[in-house]
Amino acid sequence: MHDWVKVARVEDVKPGSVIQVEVDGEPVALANTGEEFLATTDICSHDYVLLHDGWLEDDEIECPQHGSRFNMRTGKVLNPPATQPIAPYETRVEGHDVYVRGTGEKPND
Amino acid sequence: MGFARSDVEALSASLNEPDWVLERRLEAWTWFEKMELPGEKEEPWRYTNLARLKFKLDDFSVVPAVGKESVVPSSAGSSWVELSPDRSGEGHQYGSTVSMTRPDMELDSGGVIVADIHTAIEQHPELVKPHLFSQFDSATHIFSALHGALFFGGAFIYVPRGKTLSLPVEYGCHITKAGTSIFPHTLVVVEENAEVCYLERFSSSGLGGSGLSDAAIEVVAGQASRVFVATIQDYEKGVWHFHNHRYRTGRDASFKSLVVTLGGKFSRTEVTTEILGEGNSVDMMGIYLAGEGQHFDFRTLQDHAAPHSTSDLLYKGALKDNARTVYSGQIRVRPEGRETDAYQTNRNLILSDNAMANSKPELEIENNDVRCSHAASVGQMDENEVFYLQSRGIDRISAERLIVKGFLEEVLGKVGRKDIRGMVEHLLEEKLS
Amino acid sequence: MAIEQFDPVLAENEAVRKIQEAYKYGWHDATSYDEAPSRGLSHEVIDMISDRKNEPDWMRKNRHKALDYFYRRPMPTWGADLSAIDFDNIFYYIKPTNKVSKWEDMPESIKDTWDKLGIPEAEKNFLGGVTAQYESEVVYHSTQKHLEEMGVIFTDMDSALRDHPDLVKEYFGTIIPANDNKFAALNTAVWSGGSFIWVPKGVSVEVPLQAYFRINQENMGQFERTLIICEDESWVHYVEGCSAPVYSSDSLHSAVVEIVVKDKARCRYTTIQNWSNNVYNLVTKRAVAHKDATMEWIDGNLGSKVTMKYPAVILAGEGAKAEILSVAYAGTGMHLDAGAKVTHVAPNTQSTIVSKSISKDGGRAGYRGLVRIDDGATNARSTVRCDALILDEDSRSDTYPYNEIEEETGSVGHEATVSKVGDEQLFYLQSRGIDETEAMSLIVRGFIEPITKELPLEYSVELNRLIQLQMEGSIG
Repeated sequence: MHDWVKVARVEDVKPGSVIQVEVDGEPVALANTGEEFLATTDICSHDYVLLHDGWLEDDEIECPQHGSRFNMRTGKVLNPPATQPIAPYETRVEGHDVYVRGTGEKPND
Repeated sequence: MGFARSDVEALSASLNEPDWVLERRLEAWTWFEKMELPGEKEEPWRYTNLARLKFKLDDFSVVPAVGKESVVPSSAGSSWVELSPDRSGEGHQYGSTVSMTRPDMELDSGGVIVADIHTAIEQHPELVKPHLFSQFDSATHIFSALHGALFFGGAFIYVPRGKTLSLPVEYGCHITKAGTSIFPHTLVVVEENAEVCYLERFSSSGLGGSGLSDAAIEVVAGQASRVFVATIQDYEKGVWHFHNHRYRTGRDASFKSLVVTLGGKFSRTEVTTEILGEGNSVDMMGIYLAGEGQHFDFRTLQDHAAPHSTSDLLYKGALKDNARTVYSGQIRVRPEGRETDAYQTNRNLILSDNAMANSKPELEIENNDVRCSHAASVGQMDENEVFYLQSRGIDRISAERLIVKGFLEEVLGKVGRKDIRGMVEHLLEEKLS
Repeated sequence: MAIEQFDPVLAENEAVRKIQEAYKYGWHDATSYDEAPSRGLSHEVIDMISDRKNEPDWMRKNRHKALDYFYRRPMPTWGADLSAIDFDNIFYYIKPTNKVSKWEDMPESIKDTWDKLGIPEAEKNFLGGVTAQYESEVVYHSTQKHLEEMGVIFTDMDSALRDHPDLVKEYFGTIIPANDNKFAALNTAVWSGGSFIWVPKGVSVEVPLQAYFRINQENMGQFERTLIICEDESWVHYVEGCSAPVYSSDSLHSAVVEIVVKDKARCRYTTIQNWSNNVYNLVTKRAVAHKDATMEWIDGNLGSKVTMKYPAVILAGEGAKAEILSVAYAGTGMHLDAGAKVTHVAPNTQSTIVSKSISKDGGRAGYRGLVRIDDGATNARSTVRCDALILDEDSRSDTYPYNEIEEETGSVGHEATVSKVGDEQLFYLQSRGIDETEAMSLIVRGFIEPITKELPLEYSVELNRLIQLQMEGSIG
């Protein structure tokens, strides 16, 4: 299991927004749904596109390039053109800090 | 780390270059300053994302104290395998030294020139100037720009009309120090009815880190000339290799190129053959073995701008572990390319479930009097074949090796030259065992 | 001595006349619409469309969001040249008349069009249902009674949104998201018309369902939206045809077709595209095939100024199959960039792609395709075969196949050829008393035969007839 990495302060991620952070050298999308923090790899499984530039709706993120959506909790792909899931990351809030760690699942390459 | 305009000026000054060379370098440098690393949004880099591979130009720098020596180092390094004892010439570059010798002394009488590129610029400007950078375009991408600015080393071969060099000229490019880069630029000019075989090899030993190899070769194959160009890349796993091949063939020329790619972390090879004279016969061959952590990217163009010519391309490779390979090639037949026969085949043998191959053969045909075809395939070993070999008492690993060799035999069979074929077979044998 | 002066205007008129002669469907009707249409695209236009259709709010929002996507996305820079499309000069919505279910009830001028196209006749003889779209709206629709009794829904998309809102909402935009590409975004913003088909579990629709799309107005934009859902073990064959008048300035056709083929179901979608040479045809078509399902695209492209269309199948369920057969025939002034895309996601999936393209009289036809085998799609198999025939030296053929294989046990084979009509072949036919034009079209028909033989007789006759017209129009 990977180590927890402190990636942001709670106030860095406004509710309903997504930012990019780095975990173990990999780009990670960190979202604040308004209720909780969710994280996945920041790269769409369809094309090399950064997901944090896309749109967040509840716990789903929409890729800005071709409109595929992913569940940020599970990494599951919800509609084409992407057909492969993305790697989810675990999140944890401690005081004012947000921590993220890899789940051991292979991030997309 | 990284590169600066002062590197370009210092290099040119240390070589005491004429102004026209420095001007070309600085023009390329201007391109370099304007460019960024290519991304996947650019079609030629669709399957190769350097940022994702964590490539950074700032990890590299030029080799300090560039100079030129006329003596061959006594040992070419432990990784250097002497493969062809008989040569018409041999050269090497190590870090900041470049050398070229001509064991075959009878050449002097015929007007043949075998030299390093800098000596040629100094002594034979009338032969070099019209051809150097006549095909190679510094503005292609950031690596061609950097190459154009900092080219150092490489061979120059001039074969006058009617002259035949029956033994190959061999040139070795070596990276000797981690974090350094080499930029060899080779120019081969073959006049009417002349013949040459040129072999360029890339290697490193005990590097213990990463290296950058940004090479180019330009060949002008004159009327009815017979030219064979082979390049063999066998770097250690830390090296990033970029190689731009530009070939131009005249009327009735017979031209063969062979690209063997075995080493490096990353290898990007771009091969363009412009068929400018009629009655050409062009063979473009490629062999690759890609393994753990390696990413190979091949990009070829058969450009038919003259009638009655044939070009035949065959690139075959085997992939193991988590290797990734990209082949994208194009046959272009221009309106002038009447009665063209052009073929293009890329086949990939996948040996592990983490390997991935992309293949993109393209045709752009602007003439109706043609016969063109292309074929691409990606597939795994035929388990029946493995089973058969095992039933004959051959273990699985040996069976796999036999199948890979059998798979690549189709390319080797087209090489034609025994010396080159023997050398490649030897290297493959080593890699596969 | 009389001096002949070259008059460029006369020459152009002559050229247009020749094209009109060659293109049998190039007439236009002098129709007067219910209200004067206006050109251009904006959020107000979208509200106008949405108001007119009295749509649910989610669809209106969807349209507005899609328009923002459309504005934001750059024009594609690959494929054909689209730089001449003037989005401000296009009519995005024209309602020609109210929908009817009897041909007799249609305004005379529009009914005349369908008669000339032979649609009512075809319906009588061999179709299970027909929708006919004129400009933005479906003006005629009928389905055979027994299909309705089996529970098959075949209607136009606007009616479906009104009558089956839950079904539409469940699937709309899930196969092709609004932001999939610039033209999918445009379609999602301004869509109107198109077909909706729902085939219940276990039902086979034995006769084809047909839609016919007609553009009449110059500078028209037609943006129909089609959604087909085949429940488990069902089967349907949907056929679409299209044509438009010849004008000197351009029209735009940009459709989106989404298809869901559930377990063991089969869907075949046949297109005979015969737009006039002033229509940009930029279409996104994608199907998802589930377990043991089969999706077949049969795509005949004979017209348009520019076509960019790559019918896609996502093989999402184990054992699913895709078959994509296409014919492209590019004549004067045409650039057909057609192709196919298949993504193998699940194990034991199979795909076959066969493409035949013909270019003539300066036309440019090409194949652009993608075969992708995802990691985990074990034992996926794909074969691609592309053949091109170039009939004269002014014409051009391109082949751009992409093969992406991430799965060790997957296999992909791709083969392509480009050739001309053999002199020996022509000579042989001519020696048997067949004139050159006829000999050429015999050869072309033979060339595309692997695809025409897959069509129902009526359509293969139609396809061959269209090719014959193309050959004659240009040679004569």
